[in-house]
Amino acid sequence: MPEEHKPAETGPKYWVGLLVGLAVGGGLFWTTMKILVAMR
Amino acid sequence: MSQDVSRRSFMRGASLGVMAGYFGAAGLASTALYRQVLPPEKLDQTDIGELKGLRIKVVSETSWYDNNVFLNDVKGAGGLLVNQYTIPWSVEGVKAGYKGSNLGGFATYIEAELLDGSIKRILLDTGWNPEWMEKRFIEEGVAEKLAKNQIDYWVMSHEHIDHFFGVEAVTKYNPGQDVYIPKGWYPEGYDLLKGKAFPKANVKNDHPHTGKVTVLDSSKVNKMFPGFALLTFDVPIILRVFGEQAMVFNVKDKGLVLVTGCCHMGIITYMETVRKKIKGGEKIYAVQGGLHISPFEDWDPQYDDLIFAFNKYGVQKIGANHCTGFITVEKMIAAKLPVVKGTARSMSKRDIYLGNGDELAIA
Repeated sequence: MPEEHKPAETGPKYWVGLLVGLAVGGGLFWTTMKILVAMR
Repeated sequence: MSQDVSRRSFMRGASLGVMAGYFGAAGLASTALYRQVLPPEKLDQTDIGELKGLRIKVVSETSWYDNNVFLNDVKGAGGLLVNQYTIPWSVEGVKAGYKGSNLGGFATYIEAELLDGSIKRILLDTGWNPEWMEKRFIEEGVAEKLAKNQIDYWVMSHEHIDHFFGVEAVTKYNPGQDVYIPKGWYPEGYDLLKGKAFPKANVKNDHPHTGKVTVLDSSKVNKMFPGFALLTFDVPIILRVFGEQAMVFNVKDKGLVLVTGCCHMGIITYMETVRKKIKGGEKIYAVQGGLHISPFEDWDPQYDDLIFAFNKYGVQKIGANHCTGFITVEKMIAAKLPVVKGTARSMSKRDIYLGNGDELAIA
């Protein structure tokens, strides 16, 4: 199998990405809600 | 090449993380942390003062005697949006009616005892059939009080036939009585007050009103005397009527007592407005009058929500009648709500709710 088609491994970078994503996703929702509530 | 793999691995984790973070935050925001997202509601409540006691006497809750005759009158005229002053209402040949007329009417007499012991007397609405209403006003002693100028003023809940067309039964005894009406009346309403007849609708007023007419609007809580306020609702109503007002009393050591004519704004809107606008509105002690849930004895499952709503406000006495509908009251009783029973006299059909001549006393 060529290198570029190999599935990404769940190594340390994966977990770092997951944590960053959780923070970004949670923050995105929280900020949107606060803006919507403030606009009521 | 291994750097590419690491970047792909990071992006894979990050994309999953963004989704999980977003939906996880939504889950938390709607449950455990909802107070952080939605701050507590700020209530703009008005203190209306307190009363020592209250007596609410049902003069007449019988709108009309035969639902089918009433509905045929409306249908024959073109439907529920037709101007009520142009509908030929059935005034003869109705077997179940009063002297053959299908017209009844709604009126309630209220005595409020202030903290200093003085008494305020109010009449809510004038009914429909003047002959029937005069009989009831005489039987309940209201006619005598009107004639002796002992009633402080009269309040019109709204302009509907069965609440207003009997106006001459009141003005006959006291044409100079001051009246409070909700904003939104049509010119015909003012004309009828002043003595104009509407022959097509079989309504007239041979005793023109000469008292002061005060129009109240929905912009504020209208404080009338300590312990009593009127709330006005901008609501379009069938038969081309607009606006309704309802009463709020505050009885010391008991709580708020809501007295309504027909409640076209909806009982939840009424109780919710009281909760938001009147001090102590989180807990309503009693509700009395027409609640407009099943006036034609029909039922829709969504009306069940209206029955359940009473518990939310902690209502301890329900003196319903008139347009509430018997089927609604049966469901209230089945739901173990505190419905006050009546005596089924003076042409009120059943004793499951407060009927003509029955009284709700709160002290």
